[in-house]
Amino acid sequence: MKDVLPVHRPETPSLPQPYYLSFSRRVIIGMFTAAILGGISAAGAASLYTNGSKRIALAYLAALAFVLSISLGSLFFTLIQHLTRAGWAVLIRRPAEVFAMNTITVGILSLPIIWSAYSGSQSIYPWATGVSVPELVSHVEGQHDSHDPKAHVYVHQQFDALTASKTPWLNPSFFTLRIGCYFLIWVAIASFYFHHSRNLDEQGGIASTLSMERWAGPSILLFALSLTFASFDLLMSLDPHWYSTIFGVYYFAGCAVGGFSVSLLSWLVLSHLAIMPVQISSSHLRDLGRLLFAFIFFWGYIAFSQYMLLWYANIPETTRWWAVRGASTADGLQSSWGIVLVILALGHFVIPFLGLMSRHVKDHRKAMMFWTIWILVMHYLDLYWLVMPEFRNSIAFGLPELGSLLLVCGIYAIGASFFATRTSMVPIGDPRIPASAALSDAY
Amino acid sequence: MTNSSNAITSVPSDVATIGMGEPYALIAEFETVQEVLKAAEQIRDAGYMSWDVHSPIPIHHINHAMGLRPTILPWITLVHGIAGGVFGLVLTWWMNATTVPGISPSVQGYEFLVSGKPIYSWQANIPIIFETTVLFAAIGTLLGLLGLNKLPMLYNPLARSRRFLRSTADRFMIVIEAEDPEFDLARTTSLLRAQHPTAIELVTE
Repeated sequence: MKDVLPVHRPETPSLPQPYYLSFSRRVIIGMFTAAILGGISAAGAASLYTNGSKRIALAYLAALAFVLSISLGSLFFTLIQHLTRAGWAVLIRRPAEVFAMNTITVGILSLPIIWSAYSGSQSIYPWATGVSVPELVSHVEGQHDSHDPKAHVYVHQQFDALTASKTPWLNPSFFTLRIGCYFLIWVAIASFYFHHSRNLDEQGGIASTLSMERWAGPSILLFALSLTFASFDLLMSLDPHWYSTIFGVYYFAGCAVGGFSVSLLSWLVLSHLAIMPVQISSSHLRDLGRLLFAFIFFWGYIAFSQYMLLWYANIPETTRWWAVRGASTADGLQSSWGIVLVILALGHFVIPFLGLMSRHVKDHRKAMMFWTIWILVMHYLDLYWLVMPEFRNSIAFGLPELGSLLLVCGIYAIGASFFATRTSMVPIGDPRIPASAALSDAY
Repeated sequence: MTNSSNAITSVPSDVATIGMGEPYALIAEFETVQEVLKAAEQIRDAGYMSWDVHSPIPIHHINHAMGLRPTILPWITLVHGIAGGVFGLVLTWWMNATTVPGISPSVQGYEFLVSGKPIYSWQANIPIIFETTVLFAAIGTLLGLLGLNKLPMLYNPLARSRRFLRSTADRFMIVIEAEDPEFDLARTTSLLRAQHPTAIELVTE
C-alpha cells in the first residue's frame, strides 16, 4: 500500500483526538428565533408592500441561492481533496463535509420555489405561467407603472413567442423534475463522502479513502453538470430571453468563494473559542487563504468575461439583462442598480484581491475573520443583484430581503448544527491525519 | 580577503584540499536532514553571512535554521505587474484612441471605430491590460529570481569537488565562503568539526 498513500512521518507526531461539537440551548434557541423572526417579518412586510408576493418570492430565491452556493462550494472543496489526493486539508475538511451534507436542508428550503414554478405562478419565473400572449401583456403592463419610462425594459418578462419557443425546456413539470434530480445528485454525493469519512473514524484502514478517491472523478463531473444546469434553471431563467453560456461558471465561482469562506470562518471561530483539541496551524490558514484568494480572482475574471462578451456582441436579448441590472449608462436606462454593480466590482473583486494578497494577512486570524465575513456579505450581494432587479428598476432592500435571508440562514444553520453534532470535528481515522497535522510550508 | 591565518599551509591534516589557489570555501558533508539543520543553527548563531546549505531535497524551515530574511521576490513581481498594467493601459490608449498630427506613421495611433463602441472602450482593453500585467510580472519574477541567485553563474569552484556533487544526490552540504568576514580557516574548521560532519573539505579558487 506504500504506493497508494504517501508515507510521511512528522518529527513530533501528536495524534489528534476526536472532538464532538455540542450546541448550547441558547444557540439553538437563537437559531430558531432568527428563523421565526425572519419568516414573520418577511411575510408581514410582503403583505404591506405593493406587489409584495413577487418581492418576497424573489428575495427568498436570492437567499436560497446563497445557502445553496455555500453547500455546493463545500461539496466542491471536499471533492477536489479526494480528486487530487490531497493530504494537507485532511485535518480541516470536516466543516466542508458538514456544510456539503446540509444540501438536504437546502433541498427542503427549495420546496417553495419549486412549488411556485409548478403551480404556474407568475411571481418568480415568467415562463411558468404558460398563458397566451395578449393576456400576459396586459398583466405586465399593469404590474409596472405605465408612467415609468423604463417599463419597456421589462418587456422580457412577457410570455411571448420567444419564451414560448423555450417551453420544451422551461416548463413547470420538467423544471420540478430537474431540480429534484439536482438535489438527488448533490445529496447522494455529499452523503457518500460524509458517511465514508465518518466510517474512517470508527474503522480506520484505507478502504474508505480509496473508495472516496475512486468516486471523486465521476462525482465532480456530475457536480459540474448539475451545478451548471441548476444555475440556468434557478437564476438565468428569471429572464427567459437571456442566455449566457458562462453563467454556470459564474455561479460556481461564487459557490467556491462562499464555500471556502465558510470553511475558513468555521475553523477560525472554532479556534477562537479554543474548544478544539487541535489547533489549525498557520500553514493551514495560509493555504485556505490562498485558495480563497485564487477564487476571488477567478470570480472577477469570470464576471468580467461574461460582461465583456455580452457588451461586445451587443445583442438585444442579452444586453437587456445588463440594462436592468444597472450596467447601462444610456439615457433612460440608468438605475440605482448600477450602484450595486460598482459595489460588487470593488467589494467582491478589487478590494478583497488587494486585501488578501499579502501572506501576513492570510496568517492573521482576526484579519481573516474580517475578510471571510466581508466576502460572504459581498457574495450575498452578488446573488441579490442577480435576482432582485427583476422586481423593479431601483434598489429594493428592506424587511422582505432581510427577513427571508434571516429565515433561510436560520434554518440552514439549524440543519448544519444537526449534521455537525453527528461527527467528530477532527477526522481522526484518516490515514493522512498525522501528515496533515504536521503540515508546514517553506515559510 | 586573504590574511596569514587563512594561508593554505595552515590547513589541518584531516581536511582534504581541492586545488592549489587561495581558499574559496569550506565544505562540510552531512548525512541526515536533522544533522544539517542543527549544524545550520550553530553557524547562523556564530554570525556567518556568506554561507549556504546545499540539499538534494527541499528542507522545511531551513530558512529559520539559517536565519534567512524573507525574500523580496514578491515585491519585484508586484512592481513588474503594476508596470505591465500601466504599459498595457498606455499601449491600448495610444494605439486606439490617439492621433498626434505630424509624427511618424510608425508610432502613430489609429482611431478605429469598432461596431459603434466609443473610441476608447475600457471593456475591450481589459484583456490586453491583464495579459501585459501577467507577462511583465512573470518575466520580472523569473529575472528577479535569477538576479537574486546571481545566476547564470558559469563557473563555480565548488564544482571541482567530487564530494560536493553528491549534494544533488544523497548528501547535505554546508558551504562557508572565505569572503565571509568571520571566516578564519582554523576557527571555521573547528566550528564545522564540532557539528560532527562526515567530512570537511577546503575548496580553493
